[in-house]
Amino acid sequence: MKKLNVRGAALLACVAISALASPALSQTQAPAALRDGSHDMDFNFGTWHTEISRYPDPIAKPDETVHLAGTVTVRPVWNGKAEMEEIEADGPHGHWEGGTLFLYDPQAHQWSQNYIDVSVGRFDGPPTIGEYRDGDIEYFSQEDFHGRATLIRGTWTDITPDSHSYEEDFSNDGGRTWRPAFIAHLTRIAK
Amino acid sequence: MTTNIALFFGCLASASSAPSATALSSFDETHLRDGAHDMDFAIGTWRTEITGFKDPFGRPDRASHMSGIKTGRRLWNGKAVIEEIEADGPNGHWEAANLFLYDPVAHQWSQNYVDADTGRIEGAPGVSEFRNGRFEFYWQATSVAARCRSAAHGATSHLLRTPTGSIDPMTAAGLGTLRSLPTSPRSNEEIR
Repeated sequence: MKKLNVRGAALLACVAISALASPALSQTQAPAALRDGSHDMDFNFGTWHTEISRYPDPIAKPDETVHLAGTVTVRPVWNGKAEMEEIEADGPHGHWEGGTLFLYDPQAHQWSQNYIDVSVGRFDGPPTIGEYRDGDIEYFSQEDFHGRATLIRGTWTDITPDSHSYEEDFSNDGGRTWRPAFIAHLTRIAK
Repeated sequence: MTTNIALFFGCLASASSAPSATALSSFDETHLRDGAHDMDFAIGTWRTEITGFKDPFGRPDRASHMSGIKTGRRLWNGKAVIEEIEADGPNGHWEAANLFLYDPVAHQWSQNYVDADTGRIEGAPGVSEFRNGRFEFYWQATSVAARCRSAAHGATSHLLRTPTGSIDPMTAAGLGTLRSLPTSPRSNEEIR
């Protein structure tokens, strides 16, 4: 309930303003180009078994991998406008608990992936942001990796009702080449 | 995200060899209590009556009222809490959420606010701990979440106050109050 009143008040003021202003604004910014992506992440809801290959240093040691296996649970927030994902997996370095809050920005028509490191109880770094494109869902961000600004690309592919894959790639040459950093194959355990 | 996950694993590996005690070097550990369950009171489905003050300094007497449902749910077996708020008032429907995360090194909770209208995490989190019978979150302004100390009362209601202007909760100016009362237990499907 933090900032409930401050933000509640701001929200109330904005409701009236945006009701008038936002249709015109979105028309001038991107005519007819923005599709409704609010259900593009619906495939992600449910409980999944995940098999993860992680590349600790995809730039310098692209052949070094670590394997983890675990469970991913994704539940709706606000009746599906957002998603809360909980990850629990085990690997050679121990038990990993992480999570992601997926949020949809209805003005930008983009999703954001906000990663939480449970061991420190904090959001970790900037969100990756993206949308559905040519059959896949792609998110991008730029973060510091080993002291260099590095492009991050997260992609969901092979989406079926009971399985999908998620891959994260790094690029340190402005997106010309990409190295896999994290590959997960998920199979459905429950709806 | 990737870096985050990658960096996390780096941290995991280093944490096993070098415990996070270095992060505590400036604290007196004996004064840090385990607060991991301090937000348990927020779990459940609550009826909420909200009084908001849009301009607490300029017009402290001008209030607006909203009422709705607040749902608090555990994540990772209680290491975090997600709270969904749906409320209606004279200016429309409000959907928002708080993600409460516990930092086991700092022994503090953070409160990360999201408005469904923007789909963005707003600003810096409020950071807090349980102190003298109250739960206090601070961010750039000041918030004090006070909950009833009596167990019987505390299990069925709590009070959120959001004052502004001072980091001293005893002298802070009132910005707004929220009182949550439990509804009969309902499934998420019923709420939605």
